Amino acid sequence: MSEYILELNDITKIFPGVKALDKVRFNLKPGEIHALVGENGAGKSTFIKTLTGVHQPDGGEIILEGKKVVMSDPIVAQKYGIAAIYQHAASYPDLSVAENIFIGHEFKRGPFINWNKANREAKKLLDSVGADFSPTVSVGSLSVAQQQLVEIAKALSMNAKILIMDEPTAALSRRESEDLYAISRKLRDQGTAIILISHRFEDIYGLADRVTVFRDAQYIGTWDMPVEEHILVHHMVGREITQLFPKKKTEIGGELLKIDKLSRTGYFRDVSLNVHAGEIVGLTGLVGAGRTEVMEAVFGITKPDSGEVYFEGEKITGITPIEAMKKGIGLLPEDRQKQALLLSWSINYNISLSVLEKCIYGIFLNRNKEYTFSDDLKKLLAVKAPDSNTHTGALSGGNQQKVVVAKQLAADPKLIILDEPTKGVDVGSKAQIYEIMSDLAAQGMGILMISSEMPEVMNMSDRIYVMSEGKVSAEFQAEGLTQDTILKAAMPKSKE
Amino acid sequence: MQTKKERKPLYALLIEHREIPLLAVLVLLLVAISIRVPGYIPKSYMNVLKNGSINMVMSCGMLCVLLVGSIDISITAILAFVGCVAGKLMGMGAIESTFLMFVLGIAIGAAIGAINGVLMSYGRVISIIVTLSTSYIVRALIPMSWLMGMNKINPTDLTPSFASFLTGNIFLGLPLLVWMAIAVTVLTGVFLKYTRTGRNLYAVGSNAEAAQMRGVPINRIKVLAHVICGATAGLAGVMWLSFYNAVEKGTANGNEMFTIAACVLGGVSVTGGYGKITGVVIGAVMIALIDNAIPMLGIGNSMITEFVKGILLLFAILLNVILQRIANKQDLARRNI
Amino acid sequence: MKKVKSFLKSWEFFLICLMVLVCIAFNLKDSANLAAGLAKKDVFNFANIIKSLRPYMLYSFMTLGMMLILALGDMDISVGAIATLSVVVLAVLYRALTVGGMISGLAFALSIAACLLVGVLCGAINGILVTRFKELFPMIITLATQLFFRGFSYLLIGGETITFKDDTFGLLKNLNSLIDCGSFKLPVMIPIFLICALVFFIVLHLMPTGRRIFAIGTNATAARFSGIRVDRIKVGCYIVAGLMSAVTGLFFVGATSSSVKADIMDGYHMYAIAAAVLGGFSTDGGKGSVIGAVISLFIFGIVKIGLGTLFGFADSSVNLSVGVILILSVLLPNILEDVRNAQRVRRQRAETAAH
Repeated sequence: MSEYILELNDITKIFPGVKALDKVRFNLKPGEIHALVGENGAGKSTFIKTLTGVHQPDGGEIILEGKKVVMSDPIVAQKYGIAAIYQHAASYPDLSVAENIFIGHEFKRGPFINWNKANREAKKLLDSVGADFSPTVSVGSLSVAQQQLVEIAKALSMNAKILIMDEPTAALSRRESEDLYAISRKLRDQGTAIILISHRFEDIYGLADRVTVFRDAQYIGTWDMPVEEHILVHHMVGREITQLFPKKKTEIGGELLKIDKLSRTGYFRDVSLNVHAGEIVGLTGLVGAGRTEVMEAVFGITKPDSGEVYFEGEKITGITPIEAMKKGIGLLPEDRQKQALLLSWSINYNISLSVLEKCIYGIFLNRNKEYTFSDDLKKLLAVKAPDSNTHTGALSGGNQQKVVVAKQLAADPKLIILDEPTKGVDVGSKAQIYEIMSDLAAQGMGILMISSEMPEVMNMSDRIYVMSEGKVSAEFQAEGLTQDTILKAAMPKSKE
Repeated sequence: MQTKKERKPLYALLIEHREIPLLAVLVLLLVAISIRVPGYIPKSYMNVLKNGSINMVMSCGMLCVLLVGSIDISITAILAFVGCVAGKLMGMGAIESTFLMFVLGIAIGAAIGAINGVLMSYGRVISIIVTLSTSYIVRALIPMSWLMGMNKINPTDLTPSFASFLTGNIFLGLPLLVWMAIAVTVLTGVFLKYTRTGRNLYAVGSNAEAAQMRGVPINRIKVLAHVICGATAGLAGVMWLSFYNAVEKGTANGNEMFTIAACVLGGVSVTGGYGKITGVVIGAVMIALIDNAIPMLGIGNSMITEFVKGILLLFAILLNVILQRIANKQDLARRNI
Repeated sequence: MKKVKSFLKSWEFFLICLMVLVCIAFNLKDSANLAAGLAKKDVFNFANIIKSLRPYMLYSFMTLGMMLILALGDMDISVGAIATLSVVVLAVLYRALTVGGMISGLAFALSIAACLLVGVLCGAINGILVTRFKELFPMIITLATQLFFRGFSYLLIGGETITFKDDTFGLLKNLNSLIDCGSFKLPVMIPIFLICALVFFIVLHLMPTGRRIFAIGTNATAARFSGIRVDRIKVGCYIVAGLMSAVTGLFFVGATSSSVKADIMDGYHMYAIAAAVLGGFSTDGGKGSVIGAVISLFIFGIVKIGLGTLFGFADSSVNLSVGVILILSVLLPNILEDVRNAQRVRRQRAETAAH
């Protein structure tokens, strides 16, 4: 028997029009945490789904504990002891916690489900992962972090030999991530083999024993940790990234945006901050601190309960999004696929959507005008696509984000609010987006960047605000700032 | 907060048990009717139960399709079709056994339900379009000469024992018609709460993608839901025939809306994943009660029941949302931000 | 060349082919009937079809309104009930005013205005409920308002049938009249409908408003973040749908000898949905073409006329063909896509194996 509990050789998977996996390899030792990394579209998710039986491979073999196996469907994979925690908490929001944990392998009494036993056992599992909620509440009423705990409890309930974690920390705050790390290490020490997929280098460097890189549906290599970060990035991207944070020195102009004691019950209270022309202001804090909600209130998506917003000295509290855009405010929303793009529409339709009145002839839309208008912006931002008629759904995350930026620029804004601009964006595109930000600031535009990623907050901002539990807890000048100072300000007071 | 066990506020209870406000309305309605028409309950409860039974049976099937996030508007067409086919066969002397009539009805209904289910799951056609089409087709088939040309089934087509089967047989003071509805309801309730397949209906409706990743055969579950719904509609067809002793092409046209209404009143989510049989029972009883009681109140004209049903449904669904919003607001306020 | 190619691939082209095929089939049957001596003269000719289209054009106005709702990704089940309520109000008001001694002309004008206003109001109620209660599916809201509107009609006139014999009210019959065009008689409904359809075409396909409507249907959240006034546009669409329902009601009264009941036009919403869906509008929203919907309306009309006059099918049995066409029109593209994908995968697999 080999040293590996699991080996996958030459796995190929074909979807209509794309080869999602091209003869990739992967192996796993018992009791190790093995990170699988790669840019978006490198084939990680497809690989996981092939391993868990959701997809059937078109070629290659899976060897589990020395025996060749076929994962014909997810139930078979579960029987072999493979459990997965998926990227978007894949739970049933309407069902109870206990049911979510045990669905598929319920306790039965005769032909019927034994609910009492399910609730009792669920309680034990929840205790073991440090969760303090009842097993009878519905999962939809829990926070994302709590839902993630349910997923872990579910994986534990199956006594998995192999645990797959697909972006487990994507929606978690730093503290919640730490808790997850602790649980992962405990499981590893008990002999569970863990496959970890993550975009966060913190996760990989904090947890992984080995790392495997996929790029463009192909296997690149496997290394023992630690590997130097720039080498890892080089393997992931396939080229050198010379300067990730091209921050230019800019002339700081007059005050553009001023928020004065803005409050909305349950989301944020007494938030005051300001942004000047030519300035990049970072707004950071834990997920759920109320950053996104403040900006949505400024942009007019929601109405604040009290407080005022001023733009170029003029009071604009409670305006509508269209008025905000006319004044010169652009908002790049947090969830690009749900809030910013029409994925089934072409690039040029997406870019022109908010400025259709610029592309008309009389009362009619002028398609030629529209095409030239958006094609210019598309070229300016170097969106990688055959032409402007390409559907945005077919683009990579980074290129989609560039389309969204183009869409904001179409309205000639003076201030752009960027909410997590590099979330789910590959390293290559990240650098380009930073460069665009830098250029825009140099041209005198004000930029307010909401971000949870410490490196970009610290390296791109001139000034940084930190929010915690709905309030601005600190304001810093970026120069000479350390990550610890920011994190300390971001920690909820009630939990310390 | 001082007490050891945190007490749930009233609105939270109402949200968790969406059937409670409905039950309250039902009781209020009964009280109001009893004041206006003294002795209403002892006099009329039997009629309410009888008239509500067929809708109740169909509501059980409708609950199943709504749970998987689907909908079936062909049920009353199936009802009419099954009633006509079974009645015609009995009229021709091909079937004499009452038992066989029910078996046949359920089988035909299940088959049409299966077609609905396959088209909507494997064919990826949205269920309202599928069932709209099948309801057109199925109703149109009834008078087709090459089929059997059954425009109308009369009492003379039926054997006396079948014609009085559901109303003539009485156990414990209730006619077989009502017992049948009770049996279907209990079976559905047990199936949905205590069997793995039943829970899978909830799983598919709650998050189909997650269900797929966990190896739940989504398409098969969806087909099953439609088969159950078709079967209950087929059963309802034979029940209708035995109860009213007459069925024709246009029978029960439009009544599917009241079946859906019974479910929605009972708090069933049309997006799938949430719904309890107890709520559906209350919803169905309520609709039957309005049908029976409103004309007796002597307000407005004879058709006022339609108006009351409309108002009530609107009121019930909006109340659900408003309660939920209050709950959300309270939750937000408790966050102390 | 590229434009021709994309036209040949378009749904509208498919619908035109379907219409031509249906016409050819019916013509063959017609000739066969003649040859067999079953008929004295041909019945399936242009003049006959166009004249017989009238009953099937009634819900065409409603279909135009339904298109907007479907493009938004919503569904309005209450349009039939709105049509009924508007003409019930028309009848009740006209009767009250004339009985009260008002000149019939003025009473008539007022009643028509009230009828259209009811359509607008009902639409506004739907629109406001749908935008205020986003937690609920528009289909469920309009299911409830449908019961409410129809119930309101019953509340106003119960089971009564109101019929008017006077000339002023009879003016409505003009909506059902025929224009003599020499070789054939054109129902006045058709040009009115085509003009309305042209307006809808311009708004939906050529103006920014239409683009915004489709954007809302594709992704309402993204539309909102793009500065589109989602709620305002939605309420507007529901109002237009309500108005078109009231218009349908007027034509209906004109076509059915000026009598009004509370149960008329039940089920019309389904005809409207069916025609719009066959025309390429998806119940998921975000797509559809006015031209396709117009062609679909004619296809439904022609199929019904053909089956009725040539095959002697009863009108309701003709629903069979409507059902089949509807389900196939949605199912076939899905099957074709599956087949095409399977072929692609097979080709790619062969290429991989060859490497």
